[in-house]
Amino acid sequence: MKELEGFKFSSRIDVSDELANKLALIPTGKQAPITRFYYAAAAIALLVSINIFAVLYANQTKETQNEATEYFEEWN
Amino acid sequence: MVDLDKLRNGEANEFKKLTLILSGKVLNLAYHLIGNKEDAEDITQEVFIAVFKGIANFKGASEISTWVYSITVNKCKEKTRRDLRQKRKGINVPLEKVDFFLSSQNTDAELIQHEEETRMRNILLRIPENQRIAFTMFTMEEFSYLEIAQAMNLSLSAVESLLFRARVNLKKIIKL
Repeated sequence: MKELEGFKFSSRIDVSDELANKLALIPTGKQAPITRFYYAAAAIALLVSINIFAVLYANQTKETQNEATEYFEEWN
Repeated sequence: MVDLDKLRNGEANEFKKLTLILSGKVLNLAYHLIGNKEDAEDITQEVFIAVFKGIANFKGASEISTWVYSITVNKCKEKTRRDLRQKRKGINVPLEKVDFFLSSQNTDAELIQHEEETRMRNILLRIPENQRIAFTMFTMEEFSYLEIAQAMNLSLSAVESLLFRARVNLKKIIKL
């Protein structure tokens, strides 16, 4: 082995085209398929819950309206 | 150099400029700290993802390059610790794995240099982590004392002391 004082890590490797392409994709915000899947699943879950709440709210409103109608009919 | 404001605003072209300027140095730093080309490429990718995610919080107290090198050093530390943990669990992770592309184009001098570097890397595994990192960065001849200190989050005198202790330890090991 060379003298320790004179030792240098002088070998170098080049950035491959594959790595350069991967690095170029980072700022475009392209996500991994698994991340996209999670986002899609979350969006579907959100839509389903909004739908359920809308149906429940509509039913409740309908019920209140029916009760009110019955009450006024009796009163009249 | 790159425009920090544009980077913080997430401008893709500015980020590409940053990767073009720094990717080679980050890759080679990771390569010499880890000793494996594939791992070095993975770490380079992780480093730039971390840079992209963290650029909004980068206050600009130091050069952006030294901030990127410090992320590289930390990612390499994490990788080494992960490998050590796996080795303790019994999973076979060759810590000394070094790849080199032997081809007819390699000159004798390159082969000798590769052999020297492989031997040195194996010896370096026997000294403390911070000494190994400081010594590797110093012997790559691409990093100033200040850059090494900022990348390792240490003072200049601490880096000098690490390099001194690294040389003392390496001499002891080589003499054995």
